[in-house]
Amino acid sequence: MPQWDLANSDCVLVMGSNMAENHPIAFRFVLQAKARGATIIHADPRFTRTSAMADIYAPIRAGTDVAFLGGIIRHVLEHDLWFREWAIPYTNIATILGEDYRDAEDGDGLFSGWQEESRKYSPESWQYEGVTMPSALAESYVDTEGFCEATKRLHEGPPPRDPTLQHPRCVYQVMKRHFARYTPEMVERVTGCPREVFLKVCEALARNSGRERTTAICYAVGWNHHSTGVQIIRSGAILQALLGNVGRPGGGMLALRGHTSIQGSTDIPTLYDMLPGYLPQPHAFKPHSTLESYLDAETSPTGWWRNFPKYAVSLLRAWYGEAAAPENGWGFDWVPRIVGDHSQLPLTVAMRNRIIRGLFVMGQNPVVGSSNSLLVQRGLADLDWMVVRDFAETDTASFWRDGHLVRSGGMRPEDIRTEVFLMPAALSGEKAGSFTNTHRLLQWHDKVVPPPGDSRSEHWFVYHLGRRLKDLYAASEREEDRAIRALTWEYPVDDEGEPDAEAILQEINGYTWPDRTLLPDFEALKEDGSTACGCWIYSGVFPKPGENRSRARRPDGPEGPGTHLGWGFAWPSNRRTLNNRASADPEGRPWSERKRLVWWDEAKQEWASPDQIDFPKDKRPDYEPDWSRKPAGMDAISGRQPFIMIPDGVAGLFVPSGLKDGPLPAHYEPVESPVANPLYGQSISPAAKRWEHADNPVHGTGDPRWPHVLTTFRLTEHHSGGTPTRLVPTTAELQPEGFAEIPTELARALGIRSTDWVVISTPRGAIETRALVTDRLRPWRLDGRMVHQIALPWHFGWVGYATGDVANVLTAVVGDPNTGMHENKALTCALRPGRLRRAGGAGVAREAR
Amino acid sequence: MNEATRPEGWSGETYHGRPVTKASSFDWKVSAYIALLGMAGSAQVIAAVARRAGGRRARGLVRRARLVALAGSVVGPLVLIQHLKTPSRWYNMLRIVRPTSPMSLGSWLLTAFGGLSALTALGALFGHRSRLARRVADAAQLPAAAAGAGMSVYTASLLSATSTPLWAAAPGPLAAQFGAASMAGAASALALAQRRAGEVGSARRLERLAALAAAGELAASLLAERRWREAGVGHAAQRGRAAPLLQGAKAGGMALPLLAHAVSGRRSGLLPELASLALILGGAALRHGVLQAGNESACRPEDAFRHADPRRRR
Amino acid sequence: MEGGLAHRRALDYADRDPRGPIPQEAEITTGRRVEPGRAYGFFTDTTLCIGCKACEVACKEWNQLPADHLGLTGHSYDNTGHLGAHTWRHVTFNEKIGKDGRRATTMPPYQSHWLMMSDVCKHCDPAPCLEACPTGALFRTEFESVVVQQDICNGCGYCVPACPFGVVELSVEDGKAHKCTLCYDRLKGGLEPACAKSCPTDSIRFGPVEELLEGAKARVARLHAQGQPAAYLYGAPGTPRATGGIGRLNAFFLLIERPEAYNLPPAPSRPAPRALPSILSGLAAVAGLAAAALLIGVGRR
Repeated sequence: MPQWDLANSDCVLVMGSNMAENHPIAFRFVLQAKARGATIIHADPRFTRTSAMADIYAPIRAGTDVAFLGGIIRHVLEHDLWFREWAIPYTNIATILGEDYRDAEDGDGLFSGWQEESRKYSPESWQYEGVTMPSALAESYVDTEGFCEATKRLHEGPPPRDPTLQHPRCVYQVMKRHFARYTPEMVERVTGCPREVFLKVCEALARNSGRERTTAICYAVGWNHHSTGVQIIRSGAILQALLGNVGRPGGGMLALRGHTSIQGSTDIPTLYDMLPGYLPQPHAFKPHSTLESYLDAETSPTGWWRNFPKYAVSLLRAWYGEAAAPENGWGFDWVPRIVGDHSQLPLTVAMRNRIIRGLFVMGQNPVVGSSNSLLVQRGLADLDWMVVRDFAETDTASFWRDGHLVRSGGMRPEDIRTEVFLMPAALSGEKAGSFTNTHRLLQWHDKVVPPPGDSRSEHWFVYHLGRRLKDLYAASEREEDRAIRALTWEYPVDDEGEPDAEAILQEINGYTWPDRTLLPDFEALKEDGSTACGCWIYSGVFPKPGENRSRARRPDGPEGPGTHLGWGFAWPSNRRTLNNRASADPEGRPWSERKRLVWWDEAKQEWASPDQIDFPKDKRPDYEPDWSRKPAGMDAISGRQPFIMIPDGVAGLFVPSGLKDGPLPAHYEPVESPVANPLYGQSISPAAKRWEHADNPVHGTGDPRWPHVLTTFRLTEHHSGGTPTRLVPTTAELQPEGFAEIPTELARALGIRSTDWVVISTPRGAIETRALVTDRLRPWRLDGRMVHQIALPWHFGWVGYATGDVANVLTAVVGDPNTGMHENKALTCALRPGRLRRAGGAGVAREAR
Repeated sequence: MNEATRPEGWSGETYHGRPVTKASSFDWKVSAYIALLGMAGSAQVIAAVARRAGGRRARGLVRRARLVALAGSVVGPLVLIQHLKTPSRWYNMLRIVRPTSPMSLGSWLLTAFGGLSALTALGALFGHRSRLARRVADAAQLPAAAAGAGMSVYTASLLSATSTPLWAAAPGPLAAQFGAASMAGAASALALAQRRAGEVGSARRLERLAALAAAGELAASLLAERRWREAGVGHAAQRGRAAPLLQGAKAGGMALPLLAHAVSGRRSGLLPELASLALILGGAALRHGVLQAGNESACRPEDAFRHADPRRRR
Repeated sequence: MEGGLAHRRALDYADRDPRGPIPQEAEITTGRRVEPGRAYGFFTDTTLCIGCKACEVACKEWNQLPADHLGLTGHSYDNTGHLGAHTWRHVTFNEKIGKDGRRATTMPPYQSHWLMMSDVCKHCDPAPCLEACPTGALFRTEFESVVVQQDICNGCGYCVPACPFGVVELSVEDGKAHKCTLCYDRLKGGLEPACAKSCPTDSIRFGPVEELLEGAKARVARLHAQGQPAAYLYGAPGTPRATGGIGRLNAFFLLIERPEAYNLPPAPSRPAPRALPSILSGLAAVAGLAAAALLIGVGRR
């Protein structure tokens, strides 16, 4: 949903996000909603600047979000508060599961399909009765026996459903049972949130959902950064789907993404396992050996993803141009294969194990921002070379001189062999390009001033690096070098050698091959090699020469309608609210006048809306697939199924494929927790990613040496790794020094006052920082004992005006099984007043300042 | 602090104990200026009175009083300009006339006083040779005395017309205090001079005047303290860094010299001279103490909140 | 769908050449033109403040003010501390969440348990600093704002104790008095002040004081209706316990706690009127002593 659509919400639940501090501009619209009488709820372990603006503040212990949300789901189901008319046709709540499924209720926290030897789930037993579902993600392929054949059954008819919800294996009954023990009492016991507060939240959400009203949920990395991060988000999505708050004005799940273009960095990804536009990266251990098998394995038989081959082939054409041909699979063999998890956490371990020998660090400060900073610093010291591109020397670039290893006397700079290259980078105002923000909105920015000195843009750096690599390999005849030689790499450059950013955007938009006529949108893409497209979802951003739609700046005026279609370009096809077909009832009428967005215009025989329709424009609401003809793709999606990216066209409350830790969310304690799981014998997520390493020790549940909960957070005054703010005096002075928030009760017990030095330690390391004693944190009573929580902003390092010890020294390389995302929002630690005793002595003076 | 003086409704809460108002940058240079110009101003008043009451017999005293005034109006402004953070722009003080600003009016007053003092000094320096000088000086004497009276007290008004709680709480007593201290200082300085010149009778009359001024100074001090107490802003004066100075000025710079002058009677000797010196120093200490205590009270949020209590608005 | 609707005049500029200046940008960002002869000011609505300090940064960036404090205060998130020569916007933070001995979970709407306020020069009318200034460096502009002319100020420092709010201060860098100018240079160019423009939640509103006042009164009424009965205006003309001896503050505030909680004096007073009674008492004392001198016969041998 667009951020500005929050103004239309009747209730906003902010959870897993400190929205006011970290997304202050988007929070403007929350306050607009509030001005119109909306209820604002903040559920968070800390009372933050967001909580200050809330009507209800629900305190929850870090890492217990699934229990809290599961409790709301139970409350909604138990008291029949869900939006029945919406959820029965638009979700899989009535779909019947196969007989093999066993819930976590029966396995004391383990779902069926757990394989102890590989410590992984097989999703075979999670399937619908008689139908194997491909994953709704771009990575459709699921590693199960006869997957490709099994999914073909989707051509024969929809998965079996029981709209009366009486069938014991329908998703409704399974969910009711699954969440039955998530009672308000249990929620209080697990999360620490008083049950009356929890019930107020339940009531507010239920009261503000339905035909006339909508509720929005805003989340950010406070949900992601857990070993159960994906399942937390799933819990929120299930709740929204039950309440009918998807695809409607003021309703939805707003993933608040940080930075200016972090959304862009997954669309055209910096992720290891995706190609642009959420196409799966070929994998050596999947049936991806040829283009044909890749397309076969990854193409969903039904739904929009049936178009996958068009996008994949067009991407290959864009990348390999002339060299791509039908006989070489459009160059598919040149695309690198992955062999496993190559995300940030294993990358860190791989550096330490000297598997990775060289590293580019661009727009990142991993010494400050990555889990287990001492492991990172040791890993950096094991490299042969490292290139750091930033506007100033970062903590990462100076690890060999000022880092912990050197300061503690464990290493001398002259013994570190890593050759560090520092390349000055241009700032955003010094280069042209686009940002893609939280609601998929591309906004162009022009170059305002030239970058000073030798500073260069990313475009410049990567373009010239590629050009030089191509020169180096120009004469090579080796097959493995073909990938570099075949790569298209022609962009017009200006006098300074800066490639034209709009030419790159045109390539992303796509054009016909070989005459290079720009494409109007992705519906024009073909799988016969006659089109090239750098990222299919962005297609349409540059439909004609001179028409860069991300540059558009025509907002809607006071008369509305408020979709602002003339402002920037939202992928796909400038659609502002995804799945907006769901804002009309199955017959195509708006659910209510108040929440009107999309409707079927019988006279024109098409869908009408102030937005772009996220549905085939002329598909009648009463269209039903003719199953006798084995329909494929969108033909298999009826006129009443709004979720076109999902093979069966409906929202998945229960997810048969695509998740690595269970088809329904279940509460697991963080990997490091002060208490055992009160809900299941399985205390922590069985599938959580762990990397055993001597430098990465992790302790067991309830270890008395680490009695306090520790959570990390961000401050509005600083930006992530701190480089853009700690080095700038005007922002540095706003939060000039590292600190830890400590609840008053704990501080009193330990004799700590604000600005005193304290030492915080975990099995990975110890840091010293200043104390900020505050009532905004509260002690939790868990199973009869008091548990305190300490909170650390993680922006600080030794570089710049605002300095402090690195919080990530404390965190562990432990992560979510689906995303590899680290668990830095909930761990445990020890605390004492005083300072660190250091062996070396060097560098201590700097902190004593 | 007396609980009863706390304004109703205010719980005593401050914002992290941080100051509300800002302290002035007035330091010893300003207190020196206040004391010097106060003495110079009152010296002109004494000169006018002596000229009228004593006629030709007062010639020596008038001459010395005029010279004291001249010295004050030359040295004082030089000290004051040094206090400016951009001294080279001192002349901007005479750029406008701001009727609401005691500092602006004071600058003009100082200029006038300086000019008039220069004219009266003509008489002191060249009167024995030039009739013209005598006449000019005599014509300027009354205006110079009027300006001098202003110089003796305007600095207190300048302080009171700020938001510094201690100064703002007692505008009347503070000015009376400063005026009396100026008079005591001038009378004492001239008494010393008269004794040196062998005019003991004249010196004794001046000492009597100084004693009277000291009594007034003491009374005004007590009144000011009462006002501060009532307003709840007296902490800095009573317990702050300047408290010893203020108490010392009251005891050693007012009460004791007053007593000394009273007991010395017709006798001459060291005691009256010591008392005169003490009165001069006491006046200076009083001004510096008030300045310091004011700056301290400006940094005390409790004082600022009590001073800005709506129930006290008249 | 109603969120983020633009002001009507913004549409006029939607297709403009981005390289050219906008003559009255304030019209787009605030809906009002900036014209000489009217009183402009700020309405700072603390109930909308999220304490992001964007105003502080925008102010320092535009006015090229140096950072002047790099230490952790321990005073909640306020590491700025106070307004001063180099700090013309200052966000105060006052934690109230634990004030009742327990920690609230439901709250009257709008930051009732963690108070934040962006403080600024009040551009008082009449202005004590201006009334005190002996050089005329401080003057009232055509926008009714109060500005220090840096080429005239000689650093006498009298405006500093004159200000009842502790706003103006002498710079240790150049020895002159500095304070908020209401972005005088921006106003002259038709731009709203930097802080107001950067405020993401419109807690800081810029405009003609009369219009701001109307909006502020409506806001107070709305807050009362929404369950925030403590809301009141501080420093607005005609509001109780707000302005003491000062007619009005061109930068006024909406508060929900006593002024002291935001480090504001509950009833600031105009210092200048204290001068006359003071000088009269002083002159009376001197006159009395002069008369005494006559009686004593000073001058006689």
